[in-house]
Amino acid sequence: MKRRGVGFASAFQGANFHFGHRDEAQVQVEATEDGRFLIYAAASDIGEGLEAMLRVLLAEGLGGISPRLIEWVQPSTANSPNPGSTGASRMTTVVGNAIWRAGQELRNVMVKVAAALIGVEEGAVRVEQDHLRAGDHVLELGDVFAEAKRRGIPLRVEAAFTASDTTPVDEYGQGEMPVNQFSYATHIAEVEVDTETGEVAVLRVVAVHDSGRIINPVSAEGQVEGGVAMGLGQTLTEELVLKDGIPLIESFSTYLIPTVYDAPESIEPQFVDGGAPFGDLGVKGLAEIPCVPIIAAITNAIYNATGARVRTLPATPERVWRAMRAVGKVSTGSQEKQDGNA
Amino acid sequence: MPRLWSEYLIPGTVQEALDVLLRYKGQARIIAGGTDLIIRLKQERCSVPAVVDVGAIEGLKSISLHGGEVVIGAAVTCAEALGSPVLRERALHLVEAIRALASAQIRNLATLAGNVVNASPAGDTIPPLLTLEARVVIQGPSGKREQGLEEFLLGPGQTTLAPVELVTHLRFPLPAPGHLCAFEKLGLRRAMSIAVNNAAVMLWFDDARVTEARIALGAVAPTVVRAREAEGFLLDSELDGAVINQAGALAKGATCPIDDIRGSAEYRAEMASTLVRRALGRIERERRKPCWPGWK
Repeated sequence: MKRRGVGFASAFQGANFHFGHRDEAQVQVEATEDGRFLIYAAASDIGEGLEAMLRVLLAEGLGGISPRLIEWVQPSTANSPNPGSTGASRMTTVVGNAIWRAGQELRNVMVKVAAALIGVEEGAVRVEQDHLRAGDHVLELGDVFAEAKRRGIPLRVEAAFTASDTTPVDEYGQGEMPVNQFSYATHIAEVEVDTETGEVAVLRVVAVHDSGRIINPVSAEGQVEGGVAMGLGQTLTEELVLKDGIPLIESFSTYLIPTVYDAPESIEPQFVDGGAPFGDLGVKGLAEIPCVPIIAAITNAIYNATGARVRTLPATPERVWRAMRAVGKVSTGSQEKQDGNA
Repeated sequence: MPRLWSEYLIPGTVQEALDVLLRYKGQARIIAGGTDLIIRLKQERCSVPAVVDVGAIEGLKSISLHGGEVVIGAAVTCAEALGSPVLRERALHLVEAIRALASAQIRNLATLAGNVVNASPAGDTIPPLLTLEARVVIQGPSGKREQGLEEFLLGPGQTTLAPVELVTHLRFPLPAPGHLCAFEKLGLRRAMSIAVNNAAVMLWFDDARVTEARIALGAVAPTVVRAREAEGFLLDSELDGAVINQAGALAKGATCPIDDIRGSAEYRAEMASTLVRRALGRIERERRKPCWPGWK
């Protein structure tokens, strides 16, 4: 027999370097005489969408320039400043605010030079995708930057952003302000448990996230879907078995990550914007938290379906079966009717 | 990593393959799909003087009917077997087992005979082949011999096959219409998983009465085993809840499982019983459908 259940769990996860570690990002942006913008930031996009975030937030900082005109120069510590490492769910907040500031600085340069070229107040100049406009006057970006260069205005600007200070934690893990920013999430999972074998199928997951303003909705949805699938693996299949300290699990043929058949048919990410405690952009990290609440949501759903609590991960069929047996919920009889032709 | 082999040989006939095996004095390894052999060679970090690819040998690539017998060539892949009309019509549990085996990519390479020769107690195609009472056709230096699959399997990874011998075919009597069969598998995930347990059940009926029963259980003993006590119990019975439960309980008696990373002995023994109940339940539900050919 199979039983269905629903469970949910909520989580908050600190983003950015914390526990008293200073979190600062430095970036540079260079405008070119052919009307493009080059980002210098020696950070790694490890597949989470850093490049798209940098381009979108620089475009926003520049006052509405098309991200197509923006390029991230192959990151290298030889030619680029240090934005800090890719980790701690920090890039959108810390590096994002820095790149936006660099954009603002270059926007001021563009507008000032354009206003002087046309002979209008700076307030009359608007940024429009790939050019500047003041009334009927249209100026190409390349012409503006060529003029700026003639005037000796530097076309490569540097900007930095430092996250709010945090305090160290004591030996009990306590501190005055150990973390400066939290992301929040609630995941709801619907599962089907086989009450004879203990097999669990996750049918549907709704994942609601507050990571402030979402910069790249498509990529954010992908991040949540991937995080849910990873968390599902930790919950149901992934285990490093040790014997006398030696791993018995040596390869992906025995360390079982979920396949597409194990993933729920439906993962539904939803975003609510709860703002951000600091910075100019209202953004917070999303990165890591999608793996977090799903684990307890699934095990709560198993409890809801069967009355059995699994307290060791992964919740393999045998562990679920044992937990069900402990509360008398294993079915061991055939479901066939006793009479002949049903 | 050292080279896994020095020579890769592709004989065109069985005789050529046997000559090569003899020439290498049993040091050559036979390769069909390679989905077990390559992994094993890598794990053992050893290099063999030669591998002998049976994929090009005339006559080993097909599934055919010969004198009331189904004959499966040693080079027939799992994917090819999935498409076989005769297996779909007369040995559906074997088709179900192949579908539950590994992934599409592996099924494209792996062969049925390879799954048998690999002799894993958890091999998915072995339980249905045991219920089909399959025989293994073997060619060696002193000619042809044939052995029942149950006797061919000696233990985990162990068979009666000598290093100079070659399995050329699997064969089994074409099951008469009027039977029903089912394969069940319990794994740690829904695809690409080695069975914690598997089971195959095959029943013949006269109306609702069982006239013959065959049950095979995987991953619960050093080899896949028949559950003969449960089979005997089912003879002349009609499948209702009590009979199915009793057959499941008796099937457990045929097991002597071990604890390993995939499950405990206790769980495996219980699940052997569960899978047999489940297969019997499925068969009985199928039997009651008016569209079943054996239905009266």
